[in-house]
Formats: sequence, structure tokens, C-alpha cells
Amino acid sequence: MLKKIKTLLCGTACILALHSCVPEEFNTNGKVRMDEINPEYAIPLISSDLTLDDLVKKGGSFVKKYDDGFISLVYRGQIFSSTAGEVIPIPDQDFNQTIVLNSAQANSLNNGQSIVVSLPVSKSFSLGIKEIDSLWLKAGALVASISSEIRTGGSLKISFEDAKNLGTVLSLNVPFNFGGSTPVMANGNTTLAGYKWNMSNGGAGFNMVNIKFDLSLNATVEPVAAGNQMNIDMGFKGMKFSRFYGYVGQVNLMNGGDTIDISVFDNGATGTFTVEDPKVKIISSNSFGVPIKAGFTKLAGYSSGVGGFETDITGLPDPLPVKVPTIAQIGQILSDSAMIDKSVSNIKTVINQKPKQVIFQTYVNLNPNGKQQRNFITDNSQINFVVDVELPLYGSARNFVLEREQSAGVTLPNVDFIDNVMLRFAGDNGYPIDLSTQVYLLDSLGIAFDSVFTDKSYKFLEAAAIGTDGKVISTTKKTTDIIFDSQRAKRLNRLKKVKLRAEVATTSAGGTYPSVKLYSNYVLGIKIGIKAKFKINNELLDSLGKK
Amino acid sequence: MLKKIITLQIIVLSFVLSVNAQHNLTMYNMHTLPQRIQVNPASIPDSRFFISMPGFASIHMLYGNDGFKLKNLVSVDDSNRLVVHPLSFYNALNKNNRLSTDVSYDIINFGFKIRKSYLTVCLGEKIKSQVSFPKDFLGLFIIGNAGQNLGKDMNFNFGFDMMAYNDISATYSRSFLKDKLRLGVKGSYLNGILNVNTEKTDLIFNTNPVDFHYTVRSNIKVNTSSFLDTLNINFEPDKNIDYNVLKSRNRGMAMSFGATYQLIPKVVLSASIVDLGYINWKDNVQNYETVDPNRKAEFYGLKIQDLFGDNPKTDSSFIVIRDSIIDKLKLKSTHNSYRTNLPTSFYLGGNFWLTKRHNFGVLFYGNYFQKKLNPAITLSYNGKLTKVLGVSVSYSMINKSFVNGGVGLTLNGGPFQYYLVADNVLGMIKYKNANTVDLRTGINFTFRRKDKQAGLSGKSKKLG
Repeated sequence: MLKKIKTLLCGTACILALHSCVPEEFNTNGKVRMDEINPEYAIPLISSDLTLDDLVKKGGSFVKKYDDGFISLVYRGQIFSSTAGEVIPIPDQDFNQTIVLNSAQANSLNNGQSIVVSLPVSKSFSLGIKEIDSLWLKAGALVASISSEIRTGGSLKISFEDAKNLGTVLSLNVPFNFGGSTPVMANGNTTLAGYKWNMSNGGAGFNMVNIKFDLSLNATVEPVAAGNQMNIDMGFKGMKFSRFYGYVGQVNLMNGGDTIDISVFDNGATGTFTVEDPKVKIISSNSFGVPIKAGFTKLAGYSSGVGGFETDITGLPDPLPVKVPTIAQIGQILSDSAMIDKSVSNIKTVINQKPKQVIFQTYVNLNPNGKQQRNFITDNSQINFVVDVELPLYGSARNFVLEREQSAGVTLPNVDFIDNVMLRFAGDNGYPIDLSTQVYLLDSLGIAFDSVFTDKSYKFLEAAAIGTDGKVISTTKKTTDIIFDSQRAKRLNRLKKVKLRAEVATTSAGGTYPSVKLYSNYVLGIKIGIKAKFKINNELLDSLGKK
Repeated sequence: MLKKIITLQIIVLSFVLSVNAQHNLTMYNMHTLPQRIQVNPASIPDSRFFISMPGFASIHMLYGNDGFKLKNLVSVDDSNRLVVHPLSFYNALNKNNRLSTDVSYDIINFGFKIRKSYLTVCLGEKIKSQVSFPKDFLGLFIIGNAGQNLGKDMNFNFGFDMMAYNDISATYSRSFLKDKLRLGVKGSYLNGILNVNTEKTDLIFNTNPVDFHYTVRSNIKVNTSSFLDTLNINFEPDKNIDYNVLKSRNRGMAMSFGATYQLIPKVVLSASIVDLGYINWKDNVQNYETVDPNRKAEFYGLKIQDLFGDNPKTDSSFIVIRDSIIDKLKLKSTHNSYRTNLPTSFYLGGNFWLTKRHNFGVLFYGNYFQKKLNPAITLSYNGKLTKVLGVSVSYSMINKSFVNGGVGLTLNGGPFQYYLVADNVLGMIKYKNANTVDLRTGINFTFRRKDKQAGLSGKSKKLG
């Protein structure tokens, strides 16, 4: 029995011992430290495959691709004339007419009979030198007011048999009532929109207006005397045409110009840039059915500021070819064009001066030789000129420097916890162009405190290799790492702007710079990544904790 | 009474989870404990009849991780400051690190011997969960995506697997060859309650060493099932829970097989394979799968025009990139039933009997889960010191940890038997060095206990 009790006590003690094992404790003073770690992160910032579309597309410029892939930069300017509706107004027209009762008509009224007095008259529009054969109206009003001393009521109908809207003659009915005293007053109006008005009087004239007045007078007991009359004031107000047939006279339609930015030279500083065969193409588009004489009073390359210049571009045809629609083509826009190149012009010399702009002035005269043919226009008739300065990318560049400043404020994390930062530039050049570059880091005063690359003309990318046909046969690749240690990284907090400097040179062959052609499949691949190594330690954690 | 039992269980569970894990390595050789049948159907206890206390038959909890130890992460310096060692912790991790927690709870368990046969019946509930986290994910913070990780496929394949089910089992064993050989088999009917199954969770991130561009690929397949109607959009956890668990269609089965063989009078060999089975999950199934695992999302950076053009559009560019990435890594959702296998274990053991009450054992254990073998080796002493006290002491190598000292005790007072088994008692004390801890406890009532070699029954020759 004693043995059993001992055993039971022993077992119980074991179980209690097992349950009462005290785990080891972390005896700390409540403070926590952390071993420093140095995580390193890499982030891709930029990746672009730049074609010339991306490089030069700005404002009115675009890249023109030929069937063989050869490309041109085209800088476009455009100028529009006013529309015919704006420059050829139809002035308001006023007509007066008086209807006088004769004895027979007065007697009939005095005998208690009603009567109708009809009066056809012909008048003409007062338009100066303009002549209207027919007019399609889209707006305007016929207004009329009467003043009568005939002591009875009735109505006055004014009709224009030559003006019809879907077969309905233009007419205005003005009713009036006698109120016991004279003069009897009344007025009325109607819209002119939709009416087509033939004013040629059957083809024999122009501006002719045939009017018919029908005066209906009610029977009356009031005394009416021969010689009693009705005065009619009528007119056409706010007339706007949709079509005008006739003659609009000699009109100076346009004396204006435009400026074309040649942005490829915008940031150009120094060096040479040669384009073998620049061109200027002028496209005229016209919808006036009127004889036209148009041309340029000025076309010049221009740069302002220090070293600025203005050089006229010669060889333009004068007048410029402008197509005029036939009467069957009324409303249509017809285009024509003229082009000048180095064979007829000094355009190559002018362009290779790297003008930042091309300026031009134009003139357009309608019916320059007077009335020689009938005109036909719509209210929207207009003439415009497109001026394309085309730079076929066949040429050479040497030490051609582009510079540009750009805001680049950087908010860096606490740089004390940055061990180093590395910028990686990976380029893949598909152009037969050497690209040297430098990026200056400027502070708020515009002072450069650092530069990214080792010198101002760091060869960022070599030109792609070209074959015997002048076309690129293989791209060149280059990776450049720029390391900012902690001290250099600290300076980045001063960064407010960057000044980008790019020096461009076409591939050189033994010191010469033969002209090269650029094709649409050429691509400049640029990838920029950043790698940063951090120092994560107690100081960082403490500072985060305080925040 | 039930409330007290549950409270006690929660307290014990909390204790265990606060430390660490086990694999029934000590219990395997405890010939005084009826629950050993669960790890070898041919191993029978020293009692002819037992019945466990309903509600407190067996509670087994296991926590383990196969990667780090606490000492890898923190230490105390001479100034009594807690020092965190991120890099040491990172270096101690495996490529993929698993934290597993198993809880099994037997409600009813009884067994009896009839001549050469031994029959047991058990009803229990089991919850197995495993969280896995990739070393690469911590590497992203501690090493970064550059440095040694530049150009490397970093796999952020987090995993979470959880399986809860009811297990109704019957075990039968019988001796042969004049009691030298004993064969046993256990059949289980399984009824699934809840499952989260991450078949694949590959999320691979690569930073190109030349231009630093990112590539992301994913291959994800996750299945979930629950007896709760969670697919009902109007489901409200507080109102719509139907606890008719046994009516669920998540059914499965499992088989376990075991054998013991007396090679020579003092040497007994044993082997078993446990939980060879599956559950078909059919209730409220939701599958999430990557639409096209071959697609990859790449981020090269912004276009230069979007940054420096006349009209910078950084925000819209990021939105376009984000939408593109989301589209390429898109998951599709379906509702197809699926099958999960149980984590099958096997044991190979040998015992040398000094006397009829004392033996030394060696045991090799393996657990095969998610195509990975997780082995352990145990050396043990197992003794029945008196009729009252049975003791097992074990030393195991588990989860690449070589300091796992286990203890098993059975304390008998008449038929009453309280038991407590742990494979890593040291881990509870020296928890800075531990990565596996488990604990099993419960109460049995055992009858007609006799001293004899474990695994043998009937009229075997008495030793010592």
C-alpha cells in the first residue's frame, strides 16, 4: 500500500512538474533595437520607344511617310478667308408706294359697294456694283406698314410673283379697319427664309423686283372722295442668302498671313543642320464660283533675337493656281497646289539657316478683271491656303545642340537613410545619329550644382550602323549607370530645374558627315530605371515614431 | 460539467498555441494508453476494455513550423534591450515556411478485446490548418527587389489550408501466428465541415537586371467549401447558420492500416499507415483560378511623353497600367466540387523489451502533404513503473529541430486513467529554440490491465 502511495505521489509530482515548467523569459528593459538592414529597390521609371512621330510631333507639325518608309517632317500653317456670307452682305431694301382712288372707285364705295384695286409695279434692288440674277434666301423679313385716308376697312395684299418657296408665291396680307377717324394705320410682316427669288426679269436684267398690290376696300356709309389715297412703306430687312447668282463686284477678300513654328529648331543652339531637299507646298482650296487672283506678298524664313534674321524665300508662282468651281459644282471645294524646291528657289539655303519660323502673307482678289462672267456663290463659299514646309529627313547634322530647361522639383525621402542611388539609362539607338547628352541640375537661382553625366558631351548613344544603301542595319545599345552616393543624393534636395542638353550628329565617316536618310521604322528605345539602397535602422524607426 | 470541460479545453489549447507542436511520436509507444490505436491500428493497450470519458476522451493540439526559431528573430543584449534581427530571421527561413496547427477532439472512444481481436469505436472532430508564407515576401522588405534578388523569380505564394471534419471510425485488429503477428485496420467515415484549399498560389515577381522592368505571373487555384450557405448573397452569419453539419454532402472516407510483429522474444517491429483517405467537397463550393497562367503582366515604366510632354498624364497612365495588370492576372470563379486528401502519415518502429514493463523504442515517422515528405525520428524509453504510473520519455528530431524532448504519462487509480503526452516538453520551456510543440491529454477508464509486451495479446510468453 505504501508503495502504491509513493508511486501515486511520484506520478502526481511528475505531472505537476510538467505543468509548472516556467518558460524562459525575455528579461528586457522595454526598449527595442533593430539590426540595421539595407534593402535595395529597383524601379523602372521610363520606357519609351520613340519614333520621329513622338520626337517632333508638336502643334501643327506631323511626320509624312512615303511608301518606302522614308519620312519628312512637315510644319503646317493655314489661313482662311472670310466666308461669302460675311463679305458680301445684302443691304436692307426700302420701297414706297401710294394707291389713289379714282372717281369711279370712289362712287362705287359711296354707293355701298366693295371694290378691289390692283396695281402692278416694278422696282429694283439697290446694291451698288453687285448684281443679283437670283437669290436663295435663308433669312430676312418682308415688312410693310400702311397709312390710309380712305374711310373704310379692308386689306392690302403685296405679292412678288418671282419669289417662290416650293411653288408658293411670296406675299404679305395687311388687313386694316376703319375706326371712325383717319388715317387708318396697319402693318404686317412675313419671313423670307426658303424663298428662291429670280430677279433677272426673265433673263433680261438683274436686281429687278416685280410687285403686285391688291387693295380690297369694304363697302361703307362713310363719305369717300376721289383722290383719297393709301401710302405704303415696305421693305426687306436682314436678308441673308444661301446662294447668290449674279455678280459680286471686285472684292479684296484677304490680306493676311500666318506664322509657322519650325519646332525642330526651337531649342537649337549651335552646330550645323543640313536638309538636302526642303520644300514648300501651298495648297489652295476654293468654293467661290468667281474669278480669283491670289498670291503671296511674303514668304520668308525668320528667327528673332540675337542672330535673328529674315530671309525671303523665292520662286513662288504669282498668281497661285486656284481652281474655280463651275456652276454645276456650286458649293463644292476645289483644290490646287504649287510647290517650290531647291530647283526653283533658295529654300534650301533658307532652311539650313535653321529658322525658327516661316512667315507668310497672302492676298486674294475676286473678279480681278471686272465683270467678265456671272458669279455663283454660297453663303459658305471660302478660300483657304495651307502652307506646308516639308523637311525630308535626308541630310546631315554636326554638333547640332538642342537645349531645354524644365521644372524638376524632387521631394526625396529623408536622405540620411539612403546609402546610394543609381540611375540606369539603357538606350537602344535605331537612328544613324550619335546622341551626346548632359543633364544639368539647377537650383532655385538657376545655378547648376551638379550634372548627371561626366562631361557636357557624354556619348549617350552611338549612331546605329548603316549599310551601303545608307539604311540602318543594326541598332546600338548602351547602358549608363550614374551613381549618387549619400552626399550627392543629399544635394538633390536643391533641385528645382533641369537643363537638358542634347548634341546630335549624324553618323560620321572619317570626319565627314555624309547625308543620311531617316525611315519610319527607326526607333530610339530609352529605358530609365532607378536603384536605391536604404539604411533602415533605429534612427529611422525613431524618427518615424516621433512623426 | 460540459461547460467546465470546454473551458478547460480552451485553456489548454491557449497554452499550447502560445508555445509550439507534435506528431504522436511519444504516444506511439505508450503501451498503457488506449489512444495509441489511432497511430497504429494493430497496437493495442494493456487493458482488455476501455472507455474514454465522454467529452474529455482526448484533446490533441499541435503547433509546428518548419522554418525559424524565435531566437532567429529576437534576442536580448547586455543592456537588456530586445534586439530584433531581421536578416538573421530571413536567413533562417526556408523557401516556403509553414505554420501548422492541428486540433483533434474525441467525444466518444471505447474499445474491448474478444479473444484474439480488439475492436474500438471513436467519434471525433478534427481541425487541421496550415499557413505558409514565402521567404521571398520577407525578402522583398529585408533584401529588396534589387541586390541578390535582381533577376530572381520571387514567388509570393502565400498559402492557407484549413480542413475541419467529423471522423467516425471503427478499428479492428487480430493476432496471428501464435500472437507473434498482429494486423489492424481502421475505417473512417468523414463528414466535412469547412475547407479552404490552396492548390496553387504562385505569384511570381521578377525584376529585370538590365532595365529593372517588372514581370508578374500568377497561377492561383483556391477552393473553398463550407456547410454554411456562404454563397447566398443574403447570408448573415448571425442569422443564417444551420448547424446540421451531418447533413452536409461533404463526405469522405479514410483507412488506416497497422501491423506488429515479434521478431524475436525481446524485439517487436511495427508499422502503420494512417489517414489514407479523402473528402469530396460539394457544399457551397467556390473555386478561384487564374484565367490564363501563361499570361504575364509587365511594367516597364511610364512613357516619356506621359511624363515630359506638353500634357503630362501620369495619373491616367498609371490607371491604364494598373487595369492592364489586373486584366492579365484575372481570376475566374466557378463552383465545381473538388477532392482533398488527408495528410497521410506512416510510422516504422522497433522496440526492444528489457522486461515485460520496460522497453526502448526507435521510430521513424513521415508525413506526406502537398507533395512533400516531412520526416521525424524518435528514440524513446517506455515503462510501466507501477500499476499506477506509466512513463514514456522520448527524444525526437522534428522539423529540422534536434532538441525535442517528449514525455508521456499515464496515471491510473483503479480504472481511472489520466494521461498527458507531449513530443516536445523542452519546446515549452526553451521556446526560443523550439519550432514544434504538441500536447495530448484526456481521461480514460481502463479495465483488466495486464503487463505484457505491447502489440501482443493473449497468451504470449511473459518476460522478465
